[in-house]
Amino acid sequence: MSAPELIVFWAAAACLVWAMVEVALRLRRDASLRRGRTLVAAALAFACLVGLLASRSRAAGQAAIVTVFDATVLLSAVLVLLLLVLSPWLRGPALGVFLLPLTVTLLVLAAALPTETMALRSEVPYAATVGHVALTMAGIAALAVGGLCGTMYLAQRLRLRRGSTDRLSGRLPNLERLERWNRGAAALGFVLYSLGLGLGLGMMGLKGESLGLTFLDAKVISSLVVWAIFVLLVVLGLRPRFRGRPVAWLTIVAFTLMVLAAVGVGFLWPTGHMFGQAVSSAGHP
Amino acid sequence: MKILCAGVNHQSAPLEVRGRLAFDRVSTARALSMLRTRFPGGEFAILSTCNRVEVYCAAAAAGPPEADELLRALAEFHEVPAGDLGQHAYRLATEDAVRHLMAVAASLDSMVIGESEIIGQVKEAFVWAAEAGATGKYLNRLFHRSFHAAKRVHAATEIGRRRTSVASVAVDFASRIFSGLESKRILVVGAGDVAERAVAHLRSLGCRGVTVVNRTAEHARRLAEALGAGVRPWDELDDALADSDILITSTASEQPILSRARLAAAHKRRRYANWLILDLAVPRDVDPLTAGLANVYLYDLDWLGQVVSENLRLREGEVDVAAGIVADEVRAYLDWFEVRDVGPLVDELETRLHALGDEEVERLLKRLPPETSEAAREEIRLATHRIVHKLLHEPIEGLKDEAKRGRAPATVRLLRRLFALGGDDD
Repeated sequence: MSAPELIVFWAAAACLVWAMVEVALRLRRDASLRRGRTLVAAALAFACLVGLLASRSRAAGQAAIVTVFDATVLLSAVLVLLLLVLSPWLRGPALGVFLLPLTVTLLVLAAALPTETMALRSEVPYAATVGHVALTMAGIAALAVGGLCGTMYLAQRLRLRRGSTDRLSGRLPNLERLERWNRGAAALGFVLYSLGLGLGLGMMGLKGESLGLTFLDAKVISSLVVWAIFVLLVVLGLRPRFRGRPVAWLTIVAFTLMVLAAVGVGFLWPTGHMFGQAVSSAGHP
Repeated sequence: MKILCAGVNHQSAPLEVRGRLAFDRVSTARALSMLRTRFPGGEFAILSTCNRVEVYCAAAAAGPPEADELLRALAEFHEVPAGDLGQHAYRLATEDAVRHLMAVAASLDSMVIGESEIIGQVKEAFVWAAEAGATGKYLNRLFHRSFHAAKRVHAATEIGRRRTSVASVAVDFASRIFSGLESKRILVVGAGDVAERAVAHLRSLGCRGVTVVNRTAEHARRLAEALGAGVRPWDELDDALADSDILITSTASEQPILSRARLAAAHKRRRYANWLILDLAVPRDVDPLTAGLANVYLYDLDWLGQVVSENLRLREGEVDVAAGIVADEVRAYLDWFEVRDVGPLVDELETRLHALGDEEVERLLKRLPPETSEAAREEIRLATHRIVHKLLHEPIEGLKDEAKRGRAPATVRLLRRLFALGGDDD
């Protein structure tokens, strides 16, 4: 990554930390000025992240979503955009309390990942690769939203069980709404992730040998395991007995596993998938 | 100028005294008219709520009325012995009066600290006074500053957000569980007063589907009529439980009438949707083990009472922060008030000295050779104006400083004497 890109990356991280501080202060005393500062900080962070991805796309001559670094930055940008888009409806600091730490964690994770861009393989069409990554990432982003709703659900539920009326409890959305959002996000994520995965498997079926990918590849297995958990999540979400807490927990677990499958597999096992290769080619174990 | 406040409140006078002094819109207009006739030149406003009756006045510092005269007028208006009123009344002047009104507006002087009705009542009092033409620049500014203080206090503290009644805490829990309370079905088992208040609170938020079940059908019908609710017979209790989203129990039974097993069966029929159970009976109507069921939120009277106590404690903890905000606003108003008080003198001083300057310039211009150009003459006029302005700058700033320190009257007298301005603003 070039020096200006590095500066932009850390500027985005700094803006997100600033937004986190503002949100923490708003938990103590919410005020329109602080709300405005949170949004300004988040907007600056979003602009930095989009600028970074645009710069990397221009430098590589292709969409900057091929490497795991770019994908993680893109996921962070999508989450920040979500905060900005939802802010007129969720005026309190509750969403920021849960979303911003996740976004900062993703950026810290990205900072530990190799940043070299990789040329897309010529064996498969460019649009198919971009579609595969975009749909999969959109699925992960949707599940991230589900996971956030699940976390907020658990936080609100815990406070209700304890009869607590602390500052956060009054600013969290109600349980019914969180449950609805959780299910909606999980369902949307399932569709997007399934399409992305299907596209990937299709490419593998057609060009598997030249890509060096088989059904026994660690990345493929982990993605299918995550998809199976996704199916479980959607099915359990439809069963009345499992509504509420179990589904909230399962969404959080599914999101965590999905991030691990997307980012972590390359660290643990050799894989022919570009995400994993990006990790191992940079000298990571 | 001075600001006065005279009146009684829930701390100083019993309800009976406050009740005899209360004002409605019509009597407020009449009383304001009486005060303006009796004390011409003064500004007046009357704040009358169930917890207080207060008269606010802005008038010349040395002239009438005094606080006792306001109380006498109040007593005469309501035909109450002045002595009876005097022993319960408080009398506050300028800084104390300003602080009092701001504390009242910010709900720091209310019976339940942080309650939100008072700001509306203060606004109403101001509107009525303004409509009667009884306010002027001093009270206008004071009331607007008080509204600002109240807004700041409510935005910056939790003072108004903490619920302080069992019914409102119960509703707060309901709104944290359900979205769209208006579509939720409420089942009331029993006919206790607390349950009635809780349902009334929920209905005020739009809840419509209320059903009452009671062992005694007559009691159920009476409560249902009071709440505008439906009635189901006692032997349909299990069906009614299965149909409810919010269950409020308040029977006089000595034993829990709703066991865990019974509620678990109903919960299964409800497909385990969120269920808020408010057990407002003493002793309990609901087996406490029911709280262990998934998506069931059970609160009994003790628990709700503890939340109320905790909220009251937390509200009081916010009082210091709120008092700090009020102190800021009091200072801001007094800064304006004290400087505004010397405004007429400043105007007179400027007029007098500029007139002297103009007089001397005209005399000088007449003595100048006729060939002196108009531009040069204008330059002389402007220079003189600037000199007078510069000479006045320091004394005027000093006067404003003195006013801010509360030492204006003596300085005003001195300046009037030194510059032969005549009259005495004080």
